[in-house]
Amino acid sequence: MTEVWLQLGSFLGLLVLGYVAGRRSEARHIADLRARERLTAWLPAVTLKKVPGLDDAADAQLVAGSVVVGIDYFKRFVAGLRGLVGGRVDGYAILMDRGRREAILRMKEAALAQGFDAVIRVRLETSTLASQAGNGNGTAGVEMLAYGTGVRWAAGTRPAALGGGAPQRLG
Amino acid sequence: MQYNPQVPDDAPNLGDGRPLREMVRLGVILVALTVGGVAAVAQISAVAASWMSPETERTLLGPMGEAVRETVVAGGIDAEASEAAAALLAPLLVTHGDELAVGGGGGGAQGGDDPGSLPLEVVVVCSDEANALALPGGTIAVTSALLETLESANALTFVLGHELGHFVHRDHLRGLGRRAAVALALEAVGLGAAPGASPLVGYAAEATQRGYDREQERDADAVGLAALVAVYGHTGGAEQVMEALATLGGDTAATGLDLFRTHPAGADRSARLQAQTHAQGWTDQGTLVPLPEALREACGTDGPSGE
Repeated sequence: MTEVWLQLGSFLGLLVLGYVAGRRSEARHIADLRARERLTAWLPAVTLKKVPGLDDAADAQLVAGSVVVGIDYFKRFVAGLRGLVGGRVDGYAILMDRGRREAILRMKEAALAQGFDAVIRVRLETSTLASQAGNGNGTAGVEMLAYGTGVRWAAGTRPAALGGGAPQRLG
Repeated sequence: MQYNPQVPDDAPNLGDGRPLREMVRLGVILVALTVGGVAAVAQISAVAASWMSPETERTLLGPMGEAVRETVVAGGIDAEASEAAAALLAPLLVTHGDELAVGGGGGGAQGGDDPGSLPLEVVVVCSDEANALALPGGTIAVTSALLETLESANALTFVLGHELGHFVHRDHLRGLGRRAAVALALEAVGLGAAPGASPLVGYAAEATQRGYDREQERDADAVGLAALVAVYGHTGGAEQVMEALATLGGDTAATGLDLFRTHPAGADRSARLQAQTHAQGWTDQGTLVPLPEALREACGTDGPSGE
């Protein structure tokens, strides 16, 4: 009987920990994402293959940003319950969305650091990292990878369609 | 085409922001389904128990009964004492044969075209815990420690009759169904903590040892008392079991006893036995037959120094 109570206690403890920590980091991360998205909004990151003026570009290189997203105990538990009856798994949806945005932001920040004027042909990849749990069938986390081609134009020749001239920052 | 810097709208991807409510809602649904499922299985198994013929019971539960029996008799069996106890059980099988044959307890449930009765076996288990158990499959186990506390063959007959009562009322099957349902539900939600190698056998053993509810114990007491009268003509000896129960009750409560555990307080049961004795016009005065020597010295212990 003691075993059952211990099990139940640790389960509830992990659940509360997962909920509190998960909520806290989620709120902070989303606020951080919004702020950084405003800062980098001026840099075009598009899925298009070609943009106007591409032929005049001075430089083009691969840029990438990646993030590994972990799953907290609470989300895993709720998703487990959801798995029994089916339906939308909101907890995971938010997590994946955060990962996707973070990866794109890191890619854009990498492009900015290298002085690119735009990122074209942006693609997103997802892969699952296995964990030791469940004989390697468990999930340690999900990797989100955003990559594209960073393009730079010679000073003053940035195409007008991309804002032209010098970069304008939002907010 | 013109690029206009914009901050993406993230609202559609952030859900409703109420994960706790989602968990509670899902939890309530699943708990309701689980409780309903367990209740349904328990109910069905109780009905099935009263309809199950001994033949079917042997086929379905024989292996499980064997496994449970092995865990119970781990301490060793005193063959000579078991034989002596079987001799005491024999007359009860005659007087209660009919009840056992039709699956007892139920409202006229017939065991189909199989009138065969469950072959009951008595084993005296060498153990320090005073206990008597009715095991699935038809084994009555009595421990040597219990025999030490009994002062007469009458008292043992009452104990055997009590366990026989569990078989008559199919309590060993009802408890099994209920516990199995709970065990499966716990396993399903990942909280299973089954003792023993195989979860089902572990739970079955635990269920058997944990005993039955008070109502079932009272009914079993009634059968035991009737058996006592049928064999000896009076209810003498039953009272002594209750007294032994009262003295043992305190320190054995934690060890998982059938006869002594979930039981209504000794006084309550004693009163019920007396009431039954009076209502039936029986007497509790009569000669007590001493326990056969094989039982008094089961497993090499010294019997009560009464003589």
